[in-house]
Amino acid sequence: VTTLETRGDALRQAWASPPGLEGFTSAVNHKSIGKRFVVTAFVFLLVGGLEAMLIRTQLIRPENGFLDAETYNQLFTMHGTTMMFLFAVPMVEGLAMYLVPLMIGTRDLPFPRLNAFGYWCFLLGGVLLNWSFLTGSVPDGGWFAYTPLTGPEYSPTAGMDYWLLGVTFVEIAGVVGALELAVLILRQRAPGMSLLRMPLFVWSILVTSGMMLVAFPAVITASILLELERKLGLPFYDPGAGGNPLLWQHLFWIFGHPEVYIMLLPATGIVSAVIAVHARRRIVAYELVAAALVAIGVISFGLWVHHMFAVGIPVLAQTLFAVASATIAIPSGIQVFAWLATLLQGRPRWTTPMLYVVGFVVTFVAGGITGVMVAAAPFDWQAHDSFFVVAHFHYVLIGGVLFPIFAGLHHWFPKMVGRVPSEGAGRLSFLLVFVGFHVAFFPQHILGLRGMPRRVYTYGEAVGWDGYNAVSTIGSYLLGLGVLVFAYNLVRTWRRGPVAPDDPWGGDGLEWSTASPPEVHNFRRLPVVAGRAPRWEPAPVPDERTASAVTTLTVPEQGRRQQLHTTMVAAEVDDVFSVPGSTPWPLWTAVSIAVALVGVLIDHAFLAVLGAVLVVAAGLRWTSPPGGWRADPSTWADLEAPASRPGGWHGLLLGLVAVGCIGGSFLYAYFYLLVTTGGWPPPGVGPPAVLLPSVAVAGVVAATVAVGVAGRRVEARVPALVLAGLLGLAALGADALDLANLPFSPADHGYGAAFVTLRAFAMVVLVAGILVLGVALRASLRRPDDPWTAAVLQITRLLWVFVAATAVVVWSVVQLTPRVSGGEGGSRTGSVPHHSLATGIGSGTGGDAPR
Amino acid sequence: VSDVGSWPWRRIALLAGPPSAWMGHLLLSYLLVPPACGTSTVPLHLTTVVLALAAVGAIVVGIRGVDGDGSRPFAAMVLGGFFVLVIILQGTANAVVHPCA
Repeated sequence: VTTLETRGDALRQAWASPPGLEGFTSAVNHKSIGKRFVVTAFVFLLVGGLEAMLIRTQLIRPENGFLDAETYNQLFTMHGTTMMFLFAVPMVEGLAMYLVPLMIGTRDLPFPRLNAFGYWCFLLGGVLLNWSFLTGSVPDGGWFAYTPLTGPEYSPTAGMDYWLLGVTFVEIAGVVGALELAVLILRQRAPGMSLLRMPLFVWSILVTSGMMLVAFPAVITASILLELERKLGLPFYDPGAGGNPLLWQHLFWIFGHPEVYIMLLPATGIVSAVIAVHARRRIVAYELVAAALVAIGVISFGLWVHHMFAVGIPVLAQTLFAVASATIAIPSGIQVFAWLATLLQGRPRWTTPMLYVVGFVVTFVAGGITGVMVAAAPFDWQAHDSFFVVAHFHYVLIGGVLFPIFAGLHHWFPKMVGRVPSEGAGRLSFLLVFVGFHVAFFPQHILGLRGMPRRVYTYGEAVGWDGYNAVSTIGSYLLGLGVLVFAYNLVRTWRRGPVAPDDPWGGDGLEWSTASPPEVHNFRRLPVVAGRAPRWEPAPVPDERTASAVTTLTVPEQGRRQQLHTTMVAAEVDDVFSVPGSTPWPLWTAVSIAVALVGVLIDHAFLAVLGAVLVVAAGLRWTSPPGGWRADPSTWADLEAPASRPGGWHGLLLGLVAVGCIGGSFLYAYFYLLVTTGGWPPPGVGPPAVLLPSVAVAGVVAATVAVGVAGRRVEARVPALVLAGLLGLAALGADALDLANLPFSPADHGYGAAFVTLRAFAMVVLVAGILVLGVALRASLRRPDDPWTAAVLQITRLLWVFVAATAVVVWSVVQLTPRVSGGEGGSRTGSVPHHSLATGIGSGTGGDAPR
Repeated sequence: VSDVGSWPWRRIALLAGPPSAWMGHLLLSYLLVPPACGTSTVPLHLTTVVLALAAVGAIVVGIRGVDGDGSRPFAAMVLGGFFVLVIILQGTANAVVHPCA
């Protein structure tokens, strides 16, 4: 017993965060960060809910003067933005960060500092967005910010700048969280937890993480392009100068439609977890439900055009997307039938989480059916931009996301805080939320069918919408009251609720085998798994290698935070690795980004540059080895003869997927504008120069070869890295010289804007490569024989392959397209796109009815 | 069997082949609609046939690479079949709706 206690104390000591303010600013533990995400997102839910109450109060009767039109526009914009970007996604990410390590039997996330950085980005981005209320320049262009309404001409105040910069900042948090969770799930599952033994919640998070890595870059790119148009006059969305406002809609909805499923899939994962435990039966058709999650995740990327049915796209093209939109009902239906079958075959307990789940099934199915209705283009033409659509997406997002989140919070709250919420208050909150929701939103279907458009701040008495609106508003008050009761229940429980046992529900997953709340290190002895419901099955006898690994990790070697890598598919023991402890650098890096963004926001160049420099400085400090450069190498890391690549390599690979998608979105914008303007370059502009760009791309390729040599030959490592750095700098100089001598301005035409942006993207990637080369060189000089240095070199090689690929693709595109696209086919000013896929200019606003 | 150090190509073909074929079919069909209006619809139909066959081929290749115990990856097969179904449904749209509409 004494030995076990000693080991437990040592683990606690190794994994503990410092107390007080230092701990608050430097904690990186997944439970601390996960809880912060959840609490902060819940606060934003209350803020967004308050905005909704104000909106509904304005609409309670005809010609109401409670809000003026401008304030109304600001409130519905901030309500949508808050709920989508600051509540739903961060909430499910926070739950995942807290729960997934417990569910898969590990101690922390693979990159704890990145996790903390994501939280600070989310918090500062949310504060930046809401700071606009204090300045009076509040975003008012709608949560999907359609151009040209949000362009410099029609939104001249700083409101949309707050929106673009704030949302981009928050999306950074989404991307790094997704990267973190994907590597966690693929590399750190308990021995024996093969992919088809993972809990369905973990499956949903894995699929969602992949979706976030691919989807979020599109909106980040769209926002960058719009901010470049607003600040520097680059006319990406201006049809009068070779741009196209529909480009925004394409990029936004390539993100926006998957975004719905990014929120929905984790919610369905919660539902699967709650139903299994409270129906006391394993989920029926587990494999089909997992396959359905993957199917939904993939197909959600092929639906974006169904948000654009009203812009004038050819009927056949609309039909293709209508078919895809309708077929997503198949995997969704598989999940619903699996849940119903589980309920039928189980012994359900009608607890508060279960009530919310049943409320979810009823509401989600109703929202799904209206979704199939609006997927039919002819119906969509009629219902578009009406309150019918408002009702539809609130059925999907409140019924499909909020209800499961509430179910999950109630279900896992005893685990998270060690106290059991009140069932009575929970049931009361469900009653108010469920009844209030349907009273609020069902009448909106009728309002939409009777012609009430969305985003009107008032309406006349004669149109006959007053009764439905009054009922809807009363329902929204009930819903708001239910949310407050739910929040009160949790806050009261946290402070003085009854103490929770380790497993209050008789759960099936590994999270219920930890203490409530779990200790800082989660598991004293890492679990070994042989089935899908480890708590309901006999404990397996591990093989010798596995037993040795988990026994080793019961004692932290030299106080390190050690974890176990397992293989991706079968989850066999791979190697032991360490993660860094508490540090404030993630906070300072996020603050530096905030400084840069504020500089951009207030047109203060010095502040923007200072922020950028601070970001680089903080990043370099961040990349120091664990323990610092002066530490004894033996305390650095546990990369002793790993069987596969270091976790950082996989993290970078997924990060490059996201960065590649940003590059892909720039390419999409380039080709979209090229096609819709009928060929580049515009009249009076010749093909781009060849010499300097070719020298630059040759330099990058040569540098990549040198980095490869550095990785393979230890004796040539330092000179090869120096050579690579010099070649990279030379390439950067050649690119900069070429751009400085362009015969046109990027503000003249869409071609120039797209050309320069694409080149600049390749240069930014090159700069990142050069900076990482510096880190690799420093490591090679100071600790040439350390495994940490070997890992840095593996990562550097991967990055440089990406740098070279980017340079070659960008060079090929910008050199070849002006020479083969029939140049001078576009017009320098005022061209009307002739490509029928892009019609809609002049035939509509793309569905966003300006107020 | 460890999955370290070697790529499970057949499994990847089974999991990634049909979804990739579907995405390719959607994007190609979308791009081919305007030219099909002015010229011929044959490329549209050809796209459907080729990519549906590619998806089916990926499933067949994947199934042949079953694990050593002979078990079939049931869920992955259903998943692949779903994407074949969507390709066929979208191909039907190509056949029924005129590209100039």
